[in-house]
This record gives sequence, structure tokens and C-alpha cells, in this order.
Amino acid sequence: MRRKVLYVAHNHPIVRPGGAEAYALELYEAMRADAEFEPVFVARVGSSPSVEPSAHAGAPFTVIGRDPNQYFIQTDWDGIDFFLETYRDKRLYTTYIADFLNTYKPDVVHFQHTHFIGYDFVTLVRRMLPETPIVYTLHEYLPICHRDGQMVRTGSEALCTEASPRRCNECFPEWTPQWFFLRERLIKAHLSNVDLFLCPSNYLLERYVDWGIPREKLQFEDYGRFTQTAIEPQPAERRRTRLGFFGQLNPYKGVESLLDAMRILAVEEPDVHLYIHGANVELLPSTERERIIAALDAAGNNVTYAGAYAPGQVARLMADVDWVVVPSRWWENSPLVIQEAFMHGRPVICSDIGGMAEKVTHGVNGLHFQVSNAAALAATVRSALNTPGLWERLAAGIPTIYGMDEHVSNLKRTYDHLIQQRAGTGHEPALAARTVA
Amino acid sequence: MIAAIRRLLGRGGPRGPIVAPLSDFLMLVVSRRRRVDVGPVQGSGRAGRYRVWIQRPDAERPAAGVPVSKLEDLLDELVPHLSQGDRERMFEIVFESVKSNLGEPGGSSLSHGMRLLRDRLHEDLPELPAEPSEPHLMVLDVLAAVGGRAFWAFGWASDPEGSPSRVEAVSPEGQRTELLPGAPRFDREDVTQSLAAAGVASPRRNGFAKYFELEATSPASEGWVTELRAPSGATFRTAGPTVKRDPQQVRETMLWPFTVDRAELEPVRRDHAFPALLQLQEHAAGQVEVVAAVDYGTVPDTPDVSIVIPLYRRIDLIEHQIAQFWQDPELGQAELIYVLDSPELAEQLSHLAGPLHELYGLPFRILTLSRNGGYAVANNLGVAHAHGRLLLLLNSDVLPARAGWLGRMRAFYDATPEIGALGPKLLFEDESIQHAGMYFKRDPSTRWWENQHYFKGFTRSLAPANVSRSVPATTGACLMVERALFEGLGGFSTVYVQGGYEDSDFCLRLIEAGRRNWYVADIELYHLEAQSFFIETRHANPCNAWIQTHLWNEQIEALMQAQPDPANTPLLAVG
Repeated sequence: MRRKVLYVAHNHPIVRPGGAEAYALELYEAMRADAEFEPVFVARVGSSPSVEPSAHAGAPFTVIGRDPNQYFIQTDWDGIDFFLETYRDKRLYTTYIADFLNTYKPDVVHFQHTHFIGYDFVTLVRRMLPETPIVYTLHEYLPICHRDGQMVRTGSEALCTEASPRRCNECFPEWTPQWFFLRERLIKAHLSNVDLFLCPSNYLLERYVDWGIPREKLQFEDYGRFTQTAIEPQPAERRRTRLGFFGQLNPYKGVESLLDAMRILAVEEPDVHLYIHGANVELLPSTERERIIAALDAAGNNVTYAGAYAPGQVARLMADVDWVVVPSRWWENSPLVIQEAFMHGRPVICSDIGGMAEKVTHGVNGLHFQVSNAAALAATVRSALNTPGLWERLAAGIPTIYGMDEHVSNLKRTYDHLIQQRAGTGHEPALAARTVA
Repeated sequence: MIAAIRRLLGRGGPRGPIVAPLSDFLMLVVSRRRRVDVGPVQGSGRAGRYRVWIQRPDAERPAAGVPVSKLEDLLDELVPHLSQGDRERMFEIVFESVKSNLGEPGGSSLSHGMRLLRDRLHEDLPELPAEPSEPHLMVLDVLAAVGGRAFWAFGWASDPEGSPSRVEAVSPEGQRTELLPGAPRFDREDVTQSLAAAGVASPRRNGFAKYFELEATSPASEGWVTELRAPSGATFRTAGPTVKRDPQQVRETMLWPFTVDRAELEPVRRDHAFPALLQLQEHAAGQVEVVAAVDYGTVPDTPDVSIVIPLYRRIDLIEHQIAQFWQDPELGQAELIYVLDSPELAEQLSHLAGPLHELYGLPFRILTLSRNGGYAVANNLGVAHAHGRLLLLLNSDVLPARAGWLGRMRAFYDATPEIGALGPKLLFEDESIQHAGMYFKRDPSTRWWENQHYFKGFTRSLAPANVSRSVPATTGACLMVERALFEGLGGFSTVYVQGGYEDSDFCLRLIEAGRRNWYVADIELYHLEAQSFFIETRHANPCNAWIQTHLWNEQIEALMQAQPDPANTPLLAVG
């Protein structure tokens, strides 16, 4: 019999596109073909600003389409304590999720996220299934940072490297340092039940070591991707003037400084053109949404806003550009867009910080510019265009992408190892697992 | 004129018996001749030509054929035919017969009847003029019940010094107490200023305060009057304030004398405010009981350690504690008792507690109090439901730094001879020291003994804070003590106000009992001090410092003489 691995995600890509969500579903789909593990996928859905299917009374779990192993779990927006990242009505865990765990009794639980659901889920798994290993992939810094897990300070918008009750209270004066202490302690209490955290970047891994997660519980493991056939570069006789932005259009993604850079380049390098393929602008808070829309409206003729795209369209869209720009002004982790750019042979121009600087090697497979500095970005683009042979050199330096097959076999080894490690550690679970006929 | 002659001649007025209910349970019967039997007689007497009976009507033996009037009608009929002396005599007879009933069920209706009698049988006085320019202005600002019979009065009178007015307060049931002269006097700037604003000079020592006890319970809050006799002989009456009865509000009215550092207030504090506080706190404590005890899971019935945690307002903190406790096996073996001291949150707490128990599996008990009792009462009642050999008194805003702390505290306690209280190192949320033992220091102006924490705010790694040692006292936020010892000493004193100084007072009693209190440096917990006091500030502290000094001055003096001065001890060599 195949062992069950339960994947828990904070969103389903069919409801809301996003990097972590897309990866979580891809991993589930890759594991579905596996002979040893049978994956079950649970994605949170709810009365959020996103599209929502209605739940049935008394049944927060509902099936998704025809796949018997995919579920939505609905949580109510108003029921979520977004500060402590917990669901206020604990019966979500002790009645409904407990019932789900009793029914499926997964051999491994691999959390892609607990946002909108609550870290209590982790504790519940440990209590009910003492021998089941818990794996948790860290996609950003949400346990550490109340600012959407970005580690960017409010007000100054400066990058932050260290959380503390005092510093966090500076960012959120409405929450006392004592509250931030309680937040950290509660989240850490739940996360102490995780057997292994997977970190798609070393930069992120080190932030969690700083935060106090034992290093032996943190393991580097990048996102595995389904590899696609590389697309052809643009004809060599043409200048490499086409830039592409792919990703969510939220303020952390740096699209505003990219537009500023395009204003500078309109004068200095009128041939340069930027294609913006951006999603989720409708999910932004109204002031940020209006600011970004205004910035897009104010852009000159050297910018084309192409709107949202489906994951399957990336290859075709990247075929039209020479460079992929990743101008994020938060640390990032392991941006999927960098993997996609590399998969399609496009060098990356990115901010010189965090996961971006780790994944893109300056002068080897891309170029770094000083984060949030539009002039520096414009200068970097100019020199990229005007250095003969640079594009070809960088394109040749692009590494092989970490494939999904290899990722899956590494994960299976990890799951096996953890299952062995936990075997026998279980005592009589207090929330007795009922036998389901 | 004719009525006066008739009265003189002893004629006129009702002859036959008149009967009226004095309260829900008592009848007033007045007759010149025959007695009317409506039930057992509780008291009787003679006022002039009338005999007066107080009877307890018997449902099975109704007053056969005797019509029952309203009390007002009885008085209308009777009063014009009584001399002033007879009236007062009659009131006295009734009061003496019924005073013991005032504290019983029906006391309120009795009080209402007595108020009618008081107003009709006593001399009608003119109202005190309310003009600030009047020389004998007197205001009773506060009248507060601190027990059934005990009251606290606070007011002012702008009578000239040397020729004091005589002021009596009269309860709704007609009980009298003298306020002036006799009450200690002091300056009240607020009064002086507001009179000055009206162009009137106020004499010095205009304020007064008094603690007094009546002969009998006074249950009614409305109907007090004050009677003022000026040196000139003029007599006035004025309506008194509504009696304050909410313990918290009442306490507020007594704290002022402790916040002002003036010698003239010492008699107010010592002879009036303190006895009133003592009465109030004891009375309030006596009215608090455990109304529900609910076990979530199987709480150990023969535990070695019982943990008692009062919950005040911030019930959400239990989630944070339980999330830290559940994986520590020592906590599962302990008897964990939460005492809900905010009974209005009982329903919310039960909605929280059940699922939290289910999620974490940690067994605990919740005791719900009948009303807010304060820190000392909540702990004492929690301990009364505890079974452990040792107690760990814990605040809801204390979280352990790591597992194993309870066993290590127990081991330290058991290994230390003659130990009284044991307190660990407590840290603020920023890792600086919140508690490393407590000592006493006199406030430089009042000279009252205040509690101080050693090394508060300093780094946790400070060398002298990392030495376990005997200390004058330890905080009640996390205090281990033998249960027999705690109970033998009567638990926390309930005289302190709003949570504070119960711990040091208890530690002083431990020292008096021959024990020593200890600070253990290598066990750390966090204390988010005063999280449950997010609205109120602790302005009761000067009051508590005064009480502590009043009760323990010599002992603390001797203790601190023998204690190395924390500012000069070699312990302070940072290294």
C-alpha cells in the first residue's frame, strides 16, 4: 500500500495564482505518479477577497473537481487572528481537521503553508499522529515578520534583518512589544513540532537560524520544477533591448522602481522596452492598488502592460524578451521566475539582496543592481546592452534547473528517513484516532 | 391652638388600635388601650399616652377585624397628637425593636419604613442654603459602605476655626453618627480653589474624613441626611449623597489620603482610611466564593505540585501558557488550577478552555469566582482547592523560557533547609531582568517601605543576578511555597489594594515564622509584567506601601539593616 503524504497549502492556484501555490500543486502532481507515496492536497479557501466556492454547512472540507485527493479547506476571513496566525474557533482543529487526520492518517504531513489556517494544525498533527513526520517548507519570513513575512520595515521601507519585540513594535505601534513576544513564543511553540524545515534558499535558512530554529532542523532544498524545452533566443543580429517582468504586482516586487528606471531609459536608451506580465493587482489594498495602477498609467511608450498570465504561458511570453528583471525590494526566497528565466535561457537582472543575489551570480548568469535604486537599475540595463557579447556570455553561464524528478526523489528519501526516525516515538495519542470503516 | 390644648389635656387622637405594615415582615401597632394581636410581639413600649408594639404577623392568625392602614396614614393620624418628646420616644422604641432585622432579608423594606418614621417623628429642619457665600457651608462628598454597619465619609465644611459646627449624619433608618467635631481635619485645595473662584475665602483645614460604625446595619443607599448646628445655634438639614457600595468605587474614594505626603493626613490614614479599607477588603473578600469548578481532562488528584493561576481580564493568556506547558511532562503531573477572577468572562473562557484542552491534551481546572475578589482572594481560593504538597503561585502573564523549570524549582526548594518562598529569575520580553528577588526601600519623601526588584531592567547575564541567594522577598508572579506553610499563615493578606504587596507581606510573615526566602538564578521564565492591567494604572501602590509600613515597619527596618545594601555589595562587581 502506498504511504500517504498530506500537502497543506494556503491557497489553490486555481483560485489565486502565486509562486508558492503553483509549486505546491506541481509537487502534488509530480508525487501523484509515484509508486510509494500517495499524495493528498489540501488548500485553504475562504471568504477572502479572492473567488470563493461556498462551503457546505458543518463541512469546511470540500472536494475540488474530480480529483478525489484534492480538497479545499474553508476558513472564514473574520475568524482568523492575523497577528497570532491562528484560527480563533479552535474547533476548526479539534473537530474538523482532527476528523480529516483520523480519516486519512497520513504517514507524512508536508506543510507548504499554514497561513489562513493557523499553526495549530502543526500541533494537532503531532498530538494525533505522534509517529508521522512533519515537514514544513518555508516560502518567506511570515513566522518571523508580521509585515506579510517580508522583513521590510513599515514607514522607512528599509530592509530588516532581525525581529525583536521592540523592533516589531516600532513597525506596528498598535501592537505592544509584549504582544510581539507572545506572537513569537506561540508560533515557536507550534513550530517546535516540525521535524524538518525545507528552505529553498540558503539566505532564508540563515534568517531562521538567527530567529532561533535549530540549524539541524533546517535543510536547504530548492523548488523542483518540471523542465521544459528551452526556447530559442531572439536573433543574434538584434540588440538585446527587451526586458520582461513576471510576477505579482505588489509593492514588495519593486515594479515602481522598475518603471522609474524606464523613465530614465526612455531618454538614454529609447530602444529599450519593458513588458509587464503581472497578476493579482486586484487583490491589493486599495491605496497600493491605485498607486500601482497610476504608475502603470503614467508609464511611457517604452512600457507595455500585458496583464496576468497562466502558468502554461510563461514559455511563450519569455520567448519575446531578452532579459528577465527581478527588482524586488524584499529579500525574496527562491523566486520561481528566476528558475523560469534560466529554464528558458534568459539572463536575469535582479536586486543585489537575499535569495535573488543567491540564485543569480553577478556577471555569470545575470546582473545585480542596488536594490530599490532606479538609476542603478537603468545604468545596469545600459551597460548590459552596450557590453558586446555580454548577453551571450551570461546566457551560456545559466545553470541547469533543479528538476522535479530529482526533487521528488530527494523528498522521498527525506520522508523515508524521517518516518524511520519517528517510528516508535509515538505514545498513545491523546486525541485517539478512530478507525474509519 | 385647639389641637395643642387637646394634646395638653390628653384628649383627641385615635384611641382604638391602628395597624400598619412597617416592612414586608413587621407590623407597627399603636393603641391607647387594647393590644391587637397580629402575631408574636418583637418589641413594645410606651410613648406618652400610646402603647406601641412591633409584631411579626402570622399568616395563620390574621388581625381579626382590624383594618390595616398604610404607614403614611397611620402617621398622619397619630403624629399631630404626639409631643416632640413622645415622637422621639416612639421612634426609639421602634428602632430598638427592629434594628437587628435591618441586616436580614427584608431589610430594605424595613429601612424604607424607618425612613418614613424618621422623617415624620423628627423635627423638621430648614434646608442648608446652597450659596457659597453662606458661612456654614458643609458638603458630604462621599458616603461609602465598607461593611454592613461600617461607613467611610469624606467631605468639607467651611466653618471658621475655633467655632466649629456640629454635624451629624443620619441614616435612612434614623441612626445618628457625629461627623464634626471629632473627625480629623485637613486642607482640601480643590474646595479652597472652587470657593475662591466664587469669591469666598475658605478657612484652613476645611476637609474632614471619618470612618464610623453604626449600631445596626443600614441597607438603603438613598435617604441619608446631614444635620448641621452652627455655632450661632442655627440648625439646618441637607440631603446626603447616595451611598457608594461597589467595592472598587468605594476603594477609589479612600486612596487620596495615601497619595498626599502631608503630616496632617496621618490620623486620617491611620485611624480612618486604613480601618475602613480593612473592613471593606475583609467584607468584600468574605463575599467571594468559588461558584464553579470544572476539570478539563483528568487533573491529578495526588499531585506533588499545585499551580494556581488567577485570571483577570486577559483570559486569552491561557492559550499562550498552555501552548508552552503541554509538552513539559512535569506540567502534566502538576495540578493546574486557573482561578477566574473576572466572572463576567466565564462563558468566553469556557468556549476557549474546552477546545484548548482538546487541542493540547493538558489537564487543568477552572474555578470561577462569584465576583471579582482581587489577587489575594483569587490565590487564596485557588489554594483552598489545591492538593499538592507544594504550591506554585503563578501569574497568567508568565511563560517559561524552556521546559523542566518546575522540577528544578521543586528540587531547589526541597534541597534548601528552612526555605519559605522561592522565586526564579523573571525576564521582560526583551530579555532584561524583571525579577531577581525583592528588597525594601523607603520612599525618600514619605519614608514608607516600598518594594523594589533587584537589578530590574539589567541584562540577564549580569553576574550578581546570576547568584542564587537568600533575599528579603520574592515576587508573587512566580512563587513556590509549601502548601501547609501558606495555609498555616492564612494565605495572602486581603488588606492590600488592587494586587500588590501581598507577596512581600507574605514573605515577611514567612521570615517571622523563622523561614528564609530564596531567589534561584538559573531558572528563567518571562514575565510580561502587568499585562492584565492594561487600562488601570496601579495608583494604589502608595496606599499599599503605607499599609506595609504600618504593619511591618520595625521588622523591615531590622531585615534591611541585616541585608547587604544592594548598592554596595560585592555582589555588584559586574564580571
